[in-house]
Amino acid sequence: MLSFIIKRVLKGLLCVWFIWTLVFVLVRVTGDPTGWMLPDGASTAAVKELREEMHLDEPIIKQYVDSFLDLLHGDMGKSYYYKQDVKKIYSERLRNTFSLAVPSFLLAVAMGIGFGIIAALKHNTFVDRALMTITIVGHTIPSFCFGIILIMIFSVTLHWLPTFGTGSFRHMIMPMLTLAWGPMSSIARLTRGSLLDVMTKEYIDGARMKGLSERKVMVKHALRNSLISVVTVMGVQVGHMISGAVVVETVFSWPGMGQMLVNSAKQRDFPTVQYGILLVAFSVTFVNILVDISYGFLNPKIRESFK
Amino acid sequence: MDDNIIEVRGLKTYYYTATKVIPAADDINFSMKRGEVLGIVGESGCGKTTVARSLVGLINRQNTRIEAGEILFEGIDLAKATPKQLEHIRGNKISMIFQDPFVSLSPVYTVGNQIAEVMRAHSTGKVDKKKERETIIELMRKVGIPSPELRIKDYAYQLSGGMQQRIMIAIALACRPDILIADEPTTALDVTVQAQVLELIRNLKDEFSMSVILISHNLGIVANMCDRILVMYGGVVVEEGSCYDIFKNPRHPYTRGLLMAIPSLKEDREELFSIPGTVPTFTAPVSTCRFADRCPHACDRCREKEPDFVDIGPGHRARCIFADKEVLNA
Amino acid sequence: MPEKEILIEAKNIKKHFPVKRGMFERGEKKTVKAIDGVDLVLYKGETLGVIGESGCGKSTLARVIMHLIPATEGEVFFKGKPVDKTNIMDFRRKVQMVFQDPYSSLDPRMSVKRIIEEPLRVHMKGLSKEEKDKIVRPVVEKVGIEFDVLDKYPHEFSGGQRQRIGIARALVTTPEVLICDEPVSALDMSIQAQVLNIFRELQKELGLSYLFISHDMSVIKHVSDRIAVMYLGKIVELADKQELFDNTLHPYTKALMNSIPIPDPTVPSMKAELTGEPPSPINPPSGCSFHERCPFATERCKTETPVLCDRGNGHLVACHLKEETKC
Repeated sequence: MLSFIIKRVLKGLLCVWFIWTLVFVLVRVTGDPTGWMLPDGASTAAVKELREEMHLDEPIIKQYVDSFLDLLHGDMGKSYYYKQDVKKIYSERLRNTFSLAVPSFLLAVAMGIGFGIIAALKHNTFVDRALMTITIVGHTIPSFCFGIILIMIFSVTLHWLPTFGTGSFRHMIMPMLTLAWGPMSSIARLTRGSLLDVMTKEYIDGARMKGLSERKVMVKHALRNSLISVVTVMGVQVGHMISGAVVVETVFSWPGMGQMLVNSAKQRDFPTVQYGILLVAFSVTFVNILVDISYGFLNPKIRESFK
Repeated sequence: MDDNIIEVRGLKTYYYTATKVIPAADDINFSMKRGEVLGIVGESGCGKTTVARSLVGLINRQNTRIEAGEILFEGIDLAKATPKQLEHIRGNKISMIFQDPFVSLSPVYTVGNQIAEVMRAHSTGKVDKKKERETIIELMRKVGIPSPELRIKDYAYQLSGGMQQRIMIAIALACRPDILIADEPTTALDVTVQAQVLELIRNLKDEFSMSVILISHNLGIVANMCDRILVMYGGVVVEEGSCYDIFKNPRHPYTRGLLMAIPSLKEDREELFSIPGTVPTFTAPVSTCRFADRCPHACDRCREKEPDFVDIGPGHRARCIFADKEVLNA
Repeated sequence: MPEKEILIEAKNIKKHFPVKRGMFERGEKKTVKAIDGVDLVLYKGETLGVIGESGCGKSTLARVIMHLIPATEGEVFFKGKPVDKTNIMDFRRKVQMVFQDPYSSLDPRMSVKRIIEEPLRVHMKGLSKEEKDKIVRPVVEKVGIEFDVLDKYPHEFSGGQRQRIGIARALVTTPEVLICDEPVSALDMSIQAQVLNIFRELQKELGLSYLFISHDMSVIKHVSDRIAVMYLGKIVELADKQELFDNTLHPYTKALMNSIPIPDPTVPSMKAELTGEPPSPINPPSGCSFHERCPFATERCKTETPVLCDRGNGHLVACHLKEETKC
């Protein structure tokens, strides 16, 4: 088990490194920040000078090696725009994003699995159809639309909730719902689907033939088996959630890292983009490792391969 | 009624599709004595599994319903039993093993766990873990699992097909039921393993003095295992009799056709007798002999109404107007 | 028997599959020896039955002979010539295959007519519609399907009819050999007899040769002239049908025969002579692969692998206990 985790972590690190490299190259080949850093109509000589000063004129390989060595030393560089250590800029932003994303994710999982179970139990009834309609909506409406609709209803019309800002639980309700809605829908549909599939399996009848109550059959046998496939998509959903956060933070002016990432990408603020992506890559990888481990706990056949 | 352990009267289990009503099991009557092995044979879709599942209320899953009839067992009518009553009976008084043991065992629990589950479901009072483990190991030894102390921690996928079916049998017998329903218990197994598993069932039946309902499409298995046999076709029992009656003096053209259609190991036949046509599905209500379209003896009378049972001898009857006539021998 | 013409000859066929290792499994790469040195001859006009339990390699053998999967070792000869890239098309035209599952072996999106005509499109390119019909019509009528219903799709047919369609598809290229892989085991009893009769009629009428694979001894006995018994990737016994039944030599064959349930309550049958189950071909036992289950196994059986040798009358057996005569 331990060796599995170590190997999985090493693989994760490799993946993070690859993403970081990719981002490093991509932001550099698409432009540089000198455009906005110098006044309009600056001479080519001035641009050249600034580029030299920022080491942007060096071959990309050298830039890469230098940055990578800095990264290993824990030096993430200074933001071109904020003129600060990027770690410092992100620390608060990161907290904001987590304080939105983590509860949203838990909400998505809880509601998704709950709705999925209810829909499966009430298969082909009004409840099932209603829930599935709701989740189809969650699947298809882009989250910025959904956020704006929420704002229209609860802020503009009903004046119940604030449209933007942080600080209280009331501020969080709409961003959380917006962020959770998509993943919740996916999880609900998948839970329902896999539960219905498991319910047709012969071991469910096998369990019934032991004289277990229908509730026990559901919880002990059907649910546990169907969760195996649900857990696998949770890792994917975390990725979706992060990309969703960028949009949601913009709609609700939530001062998280999503918003910051978009801005710094626009400004070619290389260190800021790279560090931001690094954080995202880290968290997604971490969650996926957790998912793999819990998958092993749910499925003995996978556990076998851990040994 | 006296020593009958279960009695089925006029059982009708219908299957509803969007447009049709299919009489999956239609007007089924039979009873069974303690210690008896009753075989239900027929081809796919003949209703043999539906009958078995009706007995234990395992038919609610599709759009299937018990339409009419009684299933009398220990003073209750299982056709109208409450979920609580059924839970008490399943695994405790009536057990069932299925065709494919691999998919009938849960993939995520150890086999020991799955055996324990049925024992806990039907025991009151606290579980003594150590004693429970001993009982399970004893049971596993009884069904012929080598080194049960090690196997108790295995998952289904770690065992071979034969071992999996033995585990299913252990689960089924853990509470010493009165009736074991075996639905094609060896169809997924190789023939050398099949012989082992059937022998095991036969031995355990005597040891536990239970009755067995054996459902199979394989006439050879039924001939070797059963005391009495129901032959089903198109949702009805077409012939009922002792094992000897069915194989040595079959009186329904379908039974006769089937027996002649299987290649024999003893003699060589140039050409096999074959029943023409295909196995049909019917829509309720049925008003002809269900075998008429494939029967070499069918006449107008066969198509007027569904024939009643004709008694041929003690406990031997067939649903054919010619059952007691010489015509069949032609 | 010089007068018999050899159609297919398989020499020392081996098929080893690498076992996929888990992501982090270490150690030596394992292989499944699905077929481990099989020699086989199919004569013109005969039916060679191959019987064995699941995992014995009989279906793999059919696929290797058909060149559907490459052999690890060994060669297949057709009429004395080795089958290779240059003549594979011709080989496949003359040797066709009938599959087990009539439900999955027919493409559900093709009309039955297209399914049956497909081999013609491959092997006889450029036939007109009329020419194709001229070939297809007698073939489908021969297997008992009406020509007028061919526009339907596979799901509109029953299992038995689909297997007839599968046979018709195999017949349109006028093959000389049909390799049948469990062609009746998915069918109901009453339908099985119909299909077996079709096989027999076709053989009489067209002089076909069959390599007939099945796990069902009664079916094998019914159709075969000669029978090969396979166990764990090897042929353990091969003889003429009558000889095999009258003079069974290999303990496995004997046990196989005795474990078959006979549909007659007055005949005691279905004795569980063997304990255990066929071992995994990943870790086959040393020596004779049957020794762990064999009631007569000796020390020699545990270490030395018996070879298939002739005990007279072309009765081949691979067993140390039957070796007193010349090999």
